[in-house]
Amino acid sequence: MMSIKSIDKELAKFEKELIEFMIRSPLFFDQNQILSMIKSYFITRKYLDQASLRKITGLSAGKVSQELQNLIKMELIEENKVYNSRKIIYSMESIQKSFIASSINAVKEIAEWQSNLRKIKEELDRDKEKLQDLRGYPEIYKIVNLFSISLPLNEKMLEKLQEYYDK
Amino acid sequence: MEMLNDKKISKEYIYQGRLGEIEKQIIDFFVKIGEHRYLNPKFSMIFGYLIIHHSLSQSELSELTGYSIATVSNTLRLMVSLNLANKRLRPNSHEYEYYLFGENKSLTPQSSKFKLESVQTALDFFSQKKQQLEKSNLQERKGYSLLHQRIEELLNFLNVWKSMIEYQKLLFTEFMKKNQLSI
Repeated sequence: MMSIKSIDKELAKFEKELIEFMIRSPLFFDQNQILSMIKSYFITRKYLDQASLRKITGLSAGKVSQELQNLIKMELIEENKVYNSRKIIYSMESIQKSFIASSINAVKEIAEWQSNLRKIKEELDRDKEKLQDLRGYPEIYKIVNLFSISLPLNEKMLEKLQEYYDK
Repeated sequence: MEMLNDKKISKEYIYQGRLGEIEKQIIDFFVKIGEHRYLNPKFSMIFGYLIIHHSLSQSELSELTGYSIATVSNTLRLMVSLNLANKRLRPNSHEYEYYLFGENKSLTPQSSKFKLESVQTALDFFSQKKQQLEKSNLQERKGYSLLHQRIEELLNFLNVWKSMIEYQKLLFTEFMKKNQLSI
């Protein structure tokens, strides 16, 4: 049953130390501290709604709503409509599954970009005579080549991530 | 105007024509990767330009990225503090240039080392916090079992994450060796 649990005052103080650690840690580091903070509360609380998030973080409704959408986009949390009610509960059911699902999504998107870079490499090879005298050709070629030939690495990472996701 | 353009073109770090366009696409790729690792686009952009150019000054980075010198300076300071970049005096100049730490070595083992250290720090911290919680007199308080369970879950995940980083490091090292590559 999905329900939001409140935490005793003393435990909330203890929880705050965990949140502060996560906000500072490069592992949980985000584009902004607010996003890191909300994500960290999902790690400790599992289920939250907008009202409880506003209460524990002191953030405005607009800010909370905006960052919740970012976390949904990252596939770190899910939005759940409560039956027979207008209420919405946001959840991070399994910490491991959420973070791995988010990484799988990232690796897939990176693979798409890498195939674009492979096309660029083909262009650099095909138009070598025209481009090689331009400044930056060796530097650009080196990096494009590296990304395009490293595509199989991504595939292996994806397999491994999927393996952990299914466990 | 023409003189200004000539001046811009004569700068070694400005790539011309199609190569300039391709460079921008590569930088967009770095920003995209960074977004998935929850990194600030400024950070990813500067990181990308340093990978391509090997070393650049603050003013060159400012011109390439379009960010102010102050923004570039703050981002570089963060990279230096994270042991990702370093600076040195440019020969025959009073200007500093920045380069990525471990230049001529593969970057991933460097960043893997950093990630592994971060995971270990988190594992140590949460293990200690779990023990602290178990020894406390808070067991009967509301929310204890949820918090305890989530810390345990987080510790399990961090161990999995550590294995993933080790696996990634191994894959990348083998790949670089096989292809006789360095960044």
